[in-house]
Amino acid sequence: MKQITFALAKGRLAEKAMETLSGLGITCKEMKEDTRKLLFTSDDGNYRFFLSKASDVPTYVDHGVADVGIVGKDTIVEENRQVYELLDLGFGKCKMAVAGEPEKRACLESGGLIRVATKYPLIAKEYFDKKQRHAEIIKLHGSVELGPIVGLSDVIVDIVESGKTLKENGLVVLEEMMPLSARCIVNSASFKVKHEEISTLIRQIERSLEG
Amino acid sequence: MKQFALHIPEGVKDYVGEEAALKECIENKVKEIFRTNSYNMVETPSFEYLDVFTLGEETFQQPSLYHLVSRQGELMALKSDMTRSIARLVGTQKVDVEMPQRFGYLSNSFRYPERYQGKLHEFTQAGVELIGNKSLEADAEVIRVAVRCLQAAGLNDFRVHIGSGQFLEYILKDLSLDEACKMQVLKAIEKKDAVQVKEILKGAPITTPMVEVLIELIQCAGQVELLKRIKAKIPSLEAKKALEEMEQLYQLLEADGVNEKLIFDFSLMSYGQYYTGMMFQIFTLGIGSALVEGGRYDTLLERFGRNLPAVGFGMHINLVLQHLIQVKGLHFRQAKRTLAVCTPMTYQICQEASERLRKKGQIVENSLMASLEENLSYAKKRGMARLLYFKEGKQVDSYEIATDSVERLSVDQL
Repeated sequence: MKQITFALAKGRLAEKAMETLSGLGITCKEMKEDTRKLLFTSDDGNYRFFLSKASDVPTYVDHGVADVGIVGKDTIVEENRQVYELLDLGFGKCKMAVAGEPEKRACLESGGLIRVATKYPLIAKEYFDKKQRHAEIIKLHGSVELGPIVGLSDVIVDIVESGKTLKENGLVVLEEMMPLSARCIVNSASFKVKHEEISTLIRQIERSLEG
Repeated sequence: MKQFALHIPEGVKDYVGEEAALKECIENKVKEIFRTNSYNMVETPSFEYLDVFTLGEETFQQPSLYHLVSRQGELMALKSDMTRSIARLVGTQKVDVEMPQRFGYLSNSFRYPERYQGKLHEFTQAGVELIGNKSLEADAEVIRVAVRCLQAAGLNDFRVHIGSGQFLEYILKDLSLDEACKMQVLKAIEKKDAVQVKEILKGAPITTPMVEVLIELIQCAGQVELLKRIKAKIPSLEAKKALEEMEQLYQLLEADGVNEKLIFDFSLMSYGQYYTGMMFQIFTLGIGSALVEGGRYDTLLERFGRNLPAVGFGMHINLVLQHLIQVKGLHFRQAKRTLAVCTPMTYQICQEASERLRKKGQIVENSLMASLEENLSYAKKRGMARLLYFKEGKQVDSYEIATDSVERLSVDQL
């Protein structure tokens, strides 16, 4: 078979993905060893894996240097690349939401200009555009909850999992935007030239998720 | 301060040396295929009125275009797509022009992707448009020409994925989905989001086995047997007919062996709303997007005032070039060159002899250095094949660079 290269979003998604794959008999001892290696080959030699920052996964897949990527829906939408999204893996479930202090709800509904701090400027912009609301997007790279607390922004757009961080900072979910979970994306050309390998793999994963 | 004079903008590149030579070689081979298949080369302006590229689109705002404003304030754009320029050209023709018309082109186009994606903004496309004929023979011809172009350029390991633009439309019609739901499906397909397509279909207020078939089709591609298998599963007569046409197309391409490269591809996500019939894409290992994209578009010319069917393809020369470099490397094209060295006394005889060789198609470079040693070392460094030293009178020393051997010849022996 033709070798398939995976780009995995570093962290929990990668761990869950490797768990799912090992359920299908695709294992990779190399990855478990503590090395400085960046590229790993599966024990049977049929697959290669590399770990990357989540937001880079769609880039690798778009350029075709990875055939398959495993990454969150949030990243796929934000990066807006030409890749096939083939499978909802069902893990890493959370949601994208507008959050802020409870009293900002009025501000959100007033129709006036809202200042939004977020790590996801594209998602935020599209959301407010669709709602016909004027929003000024301020891109931040981490701890966006700080935005409303220190007065940089009215609200934030961010991933909400348990809501614990929000609560501790006196913020609440004002509007839910979309549900998120880990997805399997595929390079459009790989899906053609390695069709047999990739579609078999996708079907196997799908079956193991159902089971 | 950034020295702009020594930089080039994002998304453009220089082609020099062997890469430029290889690119030109590919282009010439492709043009030769166009010429011998009776496609007439056309050249259209590098920029035109914006409307040419936006006519019939959902919105006037097209962020992927390179916009210009003329001194009179008219909105224009750099050519983003030759097909539209040719459609405009046909729209301005007299109505009694003999059909079909065959156009070929080789042209740079310009598109704005998002920033820092590592993608070319200016790229070279070669392609054909066969206008004014709606037959399977025309479809087959266009596919055949595309395959021949790639083969002439030196590619062999590629696959042609064929689908049908109508097929999806018919199936969706048969499912009697409401308009809003249909739009959602098409939009999700446009975004290549199979997860969403499945969700919409599963949530739709219909329960027929067709939904299952449709979901299966999302990741389905194969040989001609697949076509037959799917045909048996589908109740829609129109969709069946679309599949039958694909079968006939396959038979037409059997005639010259092109069928061996075909794969029938029903993965819905490759469908754009642009194509109205047969559509195809050509892929090869190691290149992350389609080398060639084409198909039948019978409604585009109507927007330009002519109700004419058309079929064509566009080939990404840059991707073909990238693939050939990946597979064969760049050095393989090193042409055999000759360095001609003379003395003040033999200048004329050297020029005359060089000219005779050039007329035979050989590459002969004038030496601009005096000493024989300098010239020999230069020829070696440049990887030249031989050095001709016009010593005196009609006497010529021919140095074989690779073997370091010399042969004494007369000018007439060259």
